[in-house]
Amino acid sequence: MHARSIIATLASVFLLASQCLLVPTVHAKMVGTETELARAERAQKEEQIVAALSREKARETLANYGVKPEQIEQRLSRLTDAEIQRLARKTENLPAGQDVIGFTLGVILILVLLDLLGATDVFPAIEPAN
Amino acid sequence: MTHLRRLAAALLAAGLTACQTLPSPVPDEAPASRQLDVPFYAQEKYQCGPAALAMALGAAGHEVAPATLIDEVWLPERKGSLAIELRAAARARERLVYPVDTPNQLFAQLDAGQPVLVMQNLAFSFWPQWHFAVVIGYAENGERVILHTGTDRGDGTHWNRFVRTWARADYQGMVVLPPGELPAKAEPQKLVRALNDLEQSPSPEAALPYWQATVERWPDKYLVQFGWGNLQWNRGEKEDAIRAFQKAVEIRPEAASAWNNLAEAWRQMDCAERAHKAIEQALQVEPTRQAIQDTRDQIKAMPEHQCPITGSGQ
Repeated sequence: MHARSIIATLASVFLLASQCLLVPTVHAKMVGTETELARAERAQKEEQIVAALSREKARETLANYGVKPEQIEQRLSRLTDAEIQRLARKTENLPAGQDVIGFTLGVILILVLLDLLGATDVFPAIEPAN
Repeated sequence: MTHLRRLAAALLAAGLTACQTLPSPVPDEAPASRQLDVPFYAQEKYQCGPAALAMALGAAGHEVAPATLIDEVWLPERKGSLAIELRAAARARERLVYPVDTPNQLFAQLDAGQPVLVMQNLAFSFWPQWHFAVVIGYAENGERVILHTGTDRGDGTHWNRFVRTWARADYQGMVVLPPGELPAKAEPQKLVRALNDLEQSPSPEAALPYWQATVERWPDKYLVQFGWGNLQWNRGEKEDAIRAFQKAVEIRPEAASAWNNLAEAWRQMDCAERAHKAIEQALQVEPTRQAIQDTRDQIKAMPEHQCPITGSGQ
């Protein structure tokens, strides 16, 4: 009986002790200056990258609009950052040459088919199949 | 043959760039010449790193012989030193190190009486010869710069020649500052970076005089108040820390990190109500951020306490 109670006491002490070890208290923490600096520096870098990319795209837009290469830099330098970004966004609105051709070819093909079926008569040279 | 031709082309290219004139950016109001009183140590063998650092430290009020620095910054296999190790060695001597990476910055430091430790590539980009020197002044309206370099004390070099060697080392340079002095034309964010680097050195208290000058100079910059709050908190100056965090959220009400720190500070001061209010502000901005949620959970679990601070406050 005596030995058993000693074992029981030891076991409970051990369990309590291990529980203390296993359940660490959650520590709320101050956000360190390093963390906040890293965020600020990252935001700054992202801005710089966006600015650089915008400039590259704006350059492309001007070139696409027929501006002579030697004039592009000079004309870009007069624009504000916001204007450069607006110009950069313009390139995305322009349809790519490949798409336009594909679309036109598709339409012609459909019209030819419709002519062949006799539904339309866009191309006088094409006689309906029957 | 092709090798020779390529070398000739490279030399020609180098020669051509040498013809370009780069005006030196000495401000109009600055004097025509200026030479700072900087202790000189001649380098031994290739050891320009320890010598240049010893001179920069001497100018910042810390006298040290280059030989003492060899074990800290000399890389025997590379027969040279790294700029990052020079910075670390200066921080270990409780000095703030601030980057100087433009010609404008260089002259601004010289006019403020601070010599600038620069890295140079004395040869070519494809065949570099790295070197550290200390710019101690200029003459002829900046047409010449004056350097402590190698074994030459106060050596005058044409600005054009110097700036090309500096450019080939990506304009790497630094100023080592006496305690409590700030670099000329500093940017607050870069300065907080430099201060934080010093705080992480073996003696974080060394940052205190520089921090005090920074807070005095830029009291309305968010990162300055935020960093100052953290420094004061770590030093056990809790009320000063709270004041700084309060200023930080005043400057930038959407700064969740500052609200979090303010909440955590109030929590540790047993001010549950104020802690609640502050962490709510943080959660409004960044509801999913783990650090903020942890703080909120801790505040929720707070027992009722008597807040020792009365009066207005967030």
